[in-house]
Amino acid sequence: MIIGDDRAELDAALGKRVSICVLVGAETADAGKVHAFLDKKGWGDEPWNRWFLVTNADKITSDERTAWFGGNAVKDYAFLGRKTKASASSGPAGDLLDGEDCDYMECIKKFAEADKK
Amino acid sequence: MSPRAGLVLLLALLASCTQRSVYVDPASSTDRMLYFFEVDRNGVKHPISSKELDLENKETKRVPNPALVDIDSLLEIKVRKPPSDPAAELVGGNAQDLLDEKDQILALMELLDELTAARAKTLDAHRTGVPVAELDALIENLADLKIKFVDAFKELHPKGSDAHKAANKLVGSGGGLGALKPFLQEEIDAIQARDQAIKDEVKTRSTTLRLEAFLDSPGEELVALHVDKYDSLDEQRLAVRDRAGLNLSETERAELTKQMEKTEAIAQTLNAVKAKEISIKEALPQTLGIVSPKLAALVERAQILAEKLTDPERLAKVKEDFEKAAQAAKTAAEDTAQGLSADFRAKAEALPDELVGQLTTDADAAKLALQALVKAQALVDSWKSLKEDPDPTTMLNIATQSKEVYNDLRGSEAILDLPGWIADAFEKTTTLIKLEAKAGADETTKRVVAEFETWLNGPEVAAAYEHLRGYYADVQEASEIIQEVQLIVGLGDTKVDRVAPEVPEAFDVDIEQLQDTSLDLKRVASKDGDTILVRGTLKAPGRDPVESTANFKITHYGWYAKLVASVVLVRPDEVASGDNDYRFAPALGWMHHYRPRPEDDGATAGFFRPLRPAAGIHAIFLNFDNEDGFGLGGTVSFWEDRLQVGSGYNFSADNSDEGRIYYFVGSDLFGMLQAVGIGDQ
Repeated sequence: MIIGDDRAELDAALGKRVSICVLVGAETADAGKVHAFLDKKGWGDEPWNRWFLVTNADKITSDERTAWFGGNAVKDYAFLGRKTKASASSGPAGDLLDGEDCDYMECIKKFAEADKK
Repeated sequence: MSPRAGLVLLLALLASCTQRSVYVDPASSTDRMLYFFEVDRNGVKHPISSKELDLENKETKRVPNPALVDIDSLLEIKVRKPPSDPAAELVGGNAQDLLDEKDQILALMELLDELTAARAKTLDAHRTGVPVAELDALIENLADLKIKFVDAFKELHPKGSDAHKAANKLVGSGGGLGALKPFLQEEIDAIQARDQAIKDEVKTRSTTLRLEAFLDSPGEELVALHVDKYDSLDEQRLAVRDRAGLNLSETERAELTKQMEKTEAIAQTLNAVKAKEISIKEALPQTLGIVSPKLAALVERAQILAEKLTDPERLAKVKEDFEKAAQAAKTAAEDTAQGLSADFRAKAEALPDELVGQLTTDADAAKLALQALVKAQALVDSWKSLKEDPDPTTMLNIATQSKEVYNDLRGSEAILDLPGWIADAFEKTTTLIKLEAKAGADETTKRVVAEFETWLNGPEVAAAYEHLRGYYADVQEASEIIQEVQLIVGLGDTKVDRVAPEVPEAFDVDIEQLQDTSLDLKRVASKDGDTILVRGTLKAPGRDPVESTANFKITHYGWYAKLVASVVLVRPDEVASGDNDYRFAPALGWMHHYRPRPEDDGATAGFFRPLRPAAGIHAIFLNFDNEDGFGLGGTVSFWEDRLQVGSGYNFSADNSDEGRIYYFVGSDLFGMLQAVGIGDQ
């Protein structure tokens, strides 16, 4: 789901027992590409996995930026724990791509790590 | 006997009796693959391939050539793989990588199966609703499996690789990780195909070792011996052997009987000479005939051939033919050489002479070979001195002469190449003609070529060639005699010259399947002086086979006894007629020997090793004052029974003046003759 000015869906997910992948950036950026790939579904995604593309970075609070991305501006993805919502991993969205395609296996692994938190 | 002759005699005797193990440095990879050691009949191990036994590293530091081994021992052969091998590298390298890769993929597939099952279970629980804790546990277990799988997959196919990209495409196409199962199966199929291809390649590139063993008994054909795990020959039966020397096999008994008959005949002949009943000239060929009928016959054949081939008239005729041929060539050349280059003319004119020279040289070589054979006749003459000078110098003369004959004959092997030389000489001529024909195609050259061809096919060359062919037929017969004589006189030689044939039953064993083996000498019907030959042949693809030959001389170590037939010079202590001079007589001794092992260095070994003493009892046929008698007594011998002294009691004598006590000095005639290269087995 793309989060523009309204982050209600994100907040709703943050309140559920689901692991979340937060991608921050434009739809044309790496984060947007990853999001589009994940949206195709059927890549091994689970009912307890959610992914959001936050196109308006201002919608991420400073505390969230610090907690999820470690305050690092280069990082534009973060996987949040299913139970704790703590950051399981974060980094540049390009790391989730494999050439022109998505590195689905990497995404599966990141979600799995988040599933355990 | 002069002091010089005495010294040489001593050296000759020592040389023929004190055989020692000889080793050479390992020279080839095959040499280094074979590590030999001997296990004696008491189970004690003795080093061969290294000075000290090194069963841990089995490093071959010397190659036996030959090593003396006990007749009742076990020859252990440790076989090491060569240090590097292309096929082994292939197997150890690529094939191993493939095997590892296949194992990894199989593990991945197993993990994927587990993961798929766990996912189905988790999704079911999620859909149907289970307690939170239970669902958490299921999700976390599934997460662990996913992490493990992805890590393992990426280790096999790192990010950026084609396989990684292809796998991601499959996962993203809707199948999830489960879509990777056929992908992994395809990978396994491809690996198996590659593995099979490597195995096929290994088959064609595999390095193999062939081990063959032979028994080389002087005067006999080589006999192939069974080498366990390296051929399909039958295992030999245990040989009948008695170290006490009394329980003789049928062959040994027949051999001893033959030797006794011969010693008796020789003693009779020599006594007849002594009594002036026959002349020495008559006695000598007779004696050689008794000792070695084969050699005597060969000497006779050699004499006839030598006369034929050294016939001055025949040689002159051959030379004359070639001179005629040369002259015809010169005339032809001169008649037609107008307009040819000076260089060609010179070469053309020299050719016939060169040809004649070549053939004359060959004739000389043939003459030399035959003269060497004639020297064998001198051996016969040497027997004269047995009567005139019946001391050990006689034996020395015979020994020296036989060795000379042997060496001369070996040196003359080159004459066997005679046909090759003839062919070369003719080839030279025709090549030159052809070259010149190419160089200038004018009419003059063509005429010269035609002239030379006429010359080559002309009556002069034909006559010369015909004579030469006749001459060569005789030379060939001579060479056959040479080979036969070599076979007989080669007994004292330590080197195995005979080329062992390939054993059809031997396997080419892949070096990955090499195994240690052994030769049980108790199962080899050998005797002292025989040689065991072990040949290893390493065959690597694209390379010439590398051979290694190890020789082992059969002997007896430790205590052993044998029956020895001897010719002795015996004299009575006292006879009434006063004729107490020495006379020849045959004797049979039961002699007890001790041979220390090379590593024994005590005082006993120091005494036994150089002197090779033995002690025993003997039985002897006597004839004192024309009275036949039978005596028994004791004998002490040195140098493997070559020199014997003894004394005994004549049971046929009624009184002391009938030669009741006697003394003798003698020799193990057949052992000695065999040691110097004469004497049939």
